[in-house]
Amino acid sequence: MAYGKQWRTELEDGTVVTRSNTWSPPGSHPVGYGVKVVTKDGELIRIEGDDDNPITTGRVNAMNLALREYTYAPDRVIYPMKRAYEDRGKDKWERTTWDEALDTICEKVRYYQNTYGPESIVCFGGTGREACIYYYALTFSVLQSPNCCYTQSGWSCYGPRCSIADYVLGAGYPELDYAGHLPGSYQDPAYTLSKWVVVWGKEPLPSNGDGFFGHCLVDMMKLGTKIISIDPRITWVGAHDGNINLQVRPQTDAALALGLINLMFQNDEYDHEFVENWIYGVDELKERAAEYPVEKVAEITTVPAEKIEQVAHIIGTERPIGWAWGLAFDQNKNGVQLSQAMIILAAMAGSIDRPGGLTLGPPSALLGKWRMEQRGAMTDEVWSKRIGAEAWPGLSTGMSTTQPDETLNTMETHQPYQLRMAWFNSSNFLAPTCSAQPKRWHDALCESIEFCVVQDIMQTPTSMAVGDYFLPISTWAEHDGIVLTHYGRNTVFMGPMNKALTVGEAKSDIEICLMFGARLNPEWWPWYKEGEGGKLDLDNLAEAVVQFFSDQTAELGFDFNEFREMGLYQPGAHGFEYEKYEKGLLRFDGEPGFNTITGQIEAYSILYESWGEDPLPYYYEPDYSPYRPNMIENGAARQFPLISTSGSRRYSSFHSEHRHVPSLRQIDPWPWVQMNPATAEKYGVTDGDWCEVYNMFGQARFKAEITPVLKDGIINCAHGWWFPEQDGEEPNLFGVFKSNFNQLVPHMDIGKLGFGAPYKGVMCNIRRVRSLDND
Amino acid sequence: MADQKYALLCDYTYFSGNHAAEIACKEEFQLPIDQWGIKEVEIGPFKKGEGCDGDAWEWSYIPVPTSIFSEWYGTNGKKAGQRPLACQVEESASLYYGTLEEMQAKMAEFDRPMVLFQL
Repeated sequence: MAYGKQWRTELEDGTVVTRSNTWSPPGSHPVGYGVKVVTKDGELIRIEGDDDNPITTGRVNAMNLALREYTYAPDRVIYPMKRAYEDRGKDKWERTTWDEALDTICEKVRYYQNTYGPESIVCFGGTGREACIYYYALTFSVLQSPNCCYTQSGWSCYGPRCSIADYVLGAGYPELDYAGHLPGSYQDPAYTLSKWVVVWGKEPLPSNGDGFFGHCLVDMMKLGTKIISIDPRITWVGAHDGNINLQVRPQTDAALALGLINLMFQNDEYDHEFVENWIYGVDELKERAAEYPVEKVAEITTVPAEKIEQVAHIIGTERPIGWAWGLAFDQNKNGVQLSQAMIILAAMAGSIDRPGGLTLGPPSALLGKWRMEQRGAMTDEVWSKRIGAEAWPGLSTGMSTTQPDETLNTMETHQPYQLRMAWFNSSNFLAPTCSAQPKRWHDALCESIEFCVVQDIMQTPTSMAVGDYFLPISTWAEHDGIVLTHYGRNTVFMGPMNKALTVGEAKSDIEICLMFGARLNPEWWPWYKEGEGGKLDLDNLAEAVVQFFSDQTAELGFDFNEFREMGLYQPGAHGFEYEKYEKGLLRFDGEPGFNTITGQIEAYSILYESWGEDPLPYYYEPDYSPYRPNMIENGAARQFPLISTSGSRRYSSFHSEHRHVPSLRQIDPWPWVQMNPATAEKYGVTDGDWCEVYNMFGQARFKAEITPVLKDGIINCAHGWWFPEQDGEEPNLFGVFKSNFNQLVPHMDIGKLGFGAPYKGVMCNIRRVRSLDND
Repeated sequence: MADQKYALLCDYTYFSGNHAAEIACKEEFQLPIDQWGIKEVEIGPFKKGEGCDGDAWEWSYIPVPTSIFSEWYGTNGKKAGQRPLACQVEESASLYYGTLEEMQAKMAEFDRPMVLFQL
């Protein structure tokens, strides 16, 4: 099965083997599984692993192994399609050509730019996928609009952690050091294995969050690493002998973090040298943490005091301590404080930028940097019209998008102006993947958006509801590209994607940007030359892609074709260093320290204070919690006594994707709600029963999975569900509102900086029903 | 000389139940949707013992090879002796294949429970 290191091999029987690294589609974070794509006569035969990849070592996840099914799925759209405005909501799509689509769409873009201003165009981007690099460029330098939107209430995915890292830590995204950047992997002389890893609000094995190859945790456990799991659930990783589980009540993590900080100060167990040299606001922090004695924290979090003490002692005294922080930091109104507190804890444990602790990247590099530079394509006047930017500086400083909740407000009210054209770059946000209150988003889209382009792999509830043009995109096996972990905010490694086959007329995100950019803004998009009379020239386009990526890698001293031969780029082989803060490698001025205002890690945040937020971390009881005094007084706590978390991942799907892939759907055929046997008994629910979960905002249906991994009173609902096998037309839209957990999540219940909504913890109730459709 | 026997060895303390081996067999053997070369079985999760501290759990997965897998990789199988795709791609790197003798020796290298399937 080993084909050698050359990136393409042709075998005697005509089989072609192309080495590549995965990203998307199919939906995925930038994990870059090293793979061999096996094709024959232009058809995909199967996906195999690449043994030579030092991180994934031949391993490939179920979703990528099922790529053949995904590639040739009957539901897949492989030609550009169009539909008349009056036929929205109906399955009346007609095939068109790229040339026609390009002409018509560009004409519309110019019409909206000239008539209503470029700000009347909004671009919606999907999470995790390659689109995360390109939808910014599509918005800023192709469409030249300031309104790039990720629709999740409070931007509750990754963006908050990155912004807080930027504000408080003064560095790119800090990631667990799993030796991914080092050519010698765990045996590299520069590396030290983490003694303990704190896995907090994250389940990286199925999720591979932000490109972190989650199964590295298993590799590390085999070598001797122990895990401290902080999660409302017992996870498979946490369940291993010798590991510790802190089963927190959802959304109370900031109290736990403050309790741990307090104990470490109280017991004088922390990295004194690091704290004295590199933390700003130590006295104020100590004072604040003292407000969280362990007994109080145990009561808030429902974690026994002695376990909190045990963990404080371990992270205070044992070395090295690694940290894997997850989505639960973002999906929380109190998440900004939680993220700040976690960074402080990691600093107190001596983990920052040290082997086996956390690695730090520059704020942005390579494609990540190019992505951010695209905003320069607009005048300051246009840029100043970005929705929500002025009202939410704590968000708009770190993120170059709109404030998501304000975007819905704008669509509903047309204030300060009407959004009239939309471009969906791989986002199916009516499905419970990101937007809270999806029916409101649906209604607002239908009312506000006059012209809509959808770029996706198949018809979704979102494209069926509002799409006018459908542009089909290619899988990672069907295009050239680059995968880089953390979208460039901490490039642990970077790999080339090598096109192995062509399916229909599907194009990659960068190809679509190059085509439309050449027409709409050639100054910023010089790579692709249109054919005669503006016709699509596929040869020019293929060359333009290679040239574009060569320009990106030029600063590293190689071009894209050389990168194909290299197969992988690891910073550890090219001068990566630990303890960059000591060496003047983190700040733009070249001085030692962190790239914050004070040059230190800010336990007392100057920026938070300037935005009207408390400069120190604190705990905030969630607004929609049965523990909150006003909810007890007004009776809501009795009406909705349960707390539901959501958003946890499984191996069979990426958010709303993969429901149409038979071998993956077979693994998880129906949306599920997990609950403790005691909870199930109270509500008369037996395993497999259909249940309706409901609260003051909405309801959704799931099949019961009874499990002891949750405490009594806490439930966990599946996200991302719709039913591709059902009627796609309005009002059913593939059943998208039937099992839509985000209907229970409030609009705009967010933190003071504009970040964090309670997707992972809202009060609710549950009742048994007969089926998905019948009471 | 007796026919060579083959075996599948699983380090099931760390086998994570990631379904990659299941899909790999479906792809490699081109099986219809309702057939498996390997099927994972879940044990647990349950808490061990009475009044334990909350950290003692049983939760494991075992990838069970079906007779289809043996037909391909067992004695005189079409691919006997080659590396199964399932063993390459399985994400927790906890699945080994070889001759029965090799796998018995491999199993002895570990000081934790293992499961050996003679194909």
